[in-house]
Amino acid sequence: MKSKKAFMFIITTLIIISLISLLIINIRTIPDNSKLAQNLNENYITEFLILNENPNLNIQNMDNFNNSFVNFIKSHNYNTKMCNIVQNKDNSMIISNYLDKDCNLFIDNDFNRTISNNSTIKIDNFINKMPIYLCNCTYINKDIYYIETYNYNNQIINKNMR
Amino acid sequence: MTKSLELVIAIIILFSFLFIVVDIYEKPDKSLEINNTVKDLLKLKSQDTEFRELIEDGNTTIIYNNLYTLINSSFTIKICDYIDDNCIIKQELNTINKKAIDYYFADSNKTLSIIFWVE
Repeated sequence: MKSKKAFMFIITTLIIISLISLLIINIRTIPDNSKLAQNLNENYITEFLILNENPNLNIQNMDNFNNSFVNFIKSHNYNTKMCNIVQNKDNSMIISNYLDKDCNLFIDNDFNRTISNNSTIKIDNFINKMPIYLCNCTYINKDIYYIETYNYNNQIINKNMR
Repeated sequence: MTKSLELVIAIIILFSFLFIVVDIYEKPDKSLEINNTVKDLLKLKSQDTEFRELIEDGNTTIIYNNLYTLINSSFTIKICDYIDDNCIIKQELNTINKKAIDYYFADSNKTLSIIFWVE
């Protein structure tokens, strides 16, 4: 009787171990879709940094850049929210809002204006060291990007804010 | 005697299980390896002005030759205007098992796809 019990115990252990092993193998083979979202974000960041080196950066090419990335990411069945704040060579600031909502812009803690969704503005003669706040983007002496790529089961956020 | 036999069997089962788990976790995921290498390569190449000019010209043969020595897998490339228009394909793949990595070049509005076939 005792040996039958022991035998049953070993068989049960074997079955449980086999099931756990199968589960581990399955987890390893399921494709990780979050990698695609991460790739899309990294593509955006690399191109954003290259664009910032352009001495002829203006509202139009920043707006086109963000617009085309929104569509590029959508073509991969993901949605995206993004904003960026860039200081231009002529001391102007280029600020984009693609956060899927209108956002209030604060400069040095004072309300400046509301930037509507999917638009880019330029502020001339910007005084350095003044912080800028626009929803998820906070500028303090450094060009800023925020990108959130998501679908029904994945969400990847990349930002270069402090 | 019976008890020690059960103990030996239980220890063997436990060690076999641990061995399988460690083996599965230590085995490198080949698809992941390809992904990371090519991702890094694309990131590097995207900062190369000459490479960006080749993308803008849509010269698939030179781009393919440029990448051939750097990618250690069977692949082909496709360059499209923006997302999927006017694509120039280096060589059509007939296999169903293919896997692609896309990189969008914002200034030229072109997408480079590196397509691997998975055996």
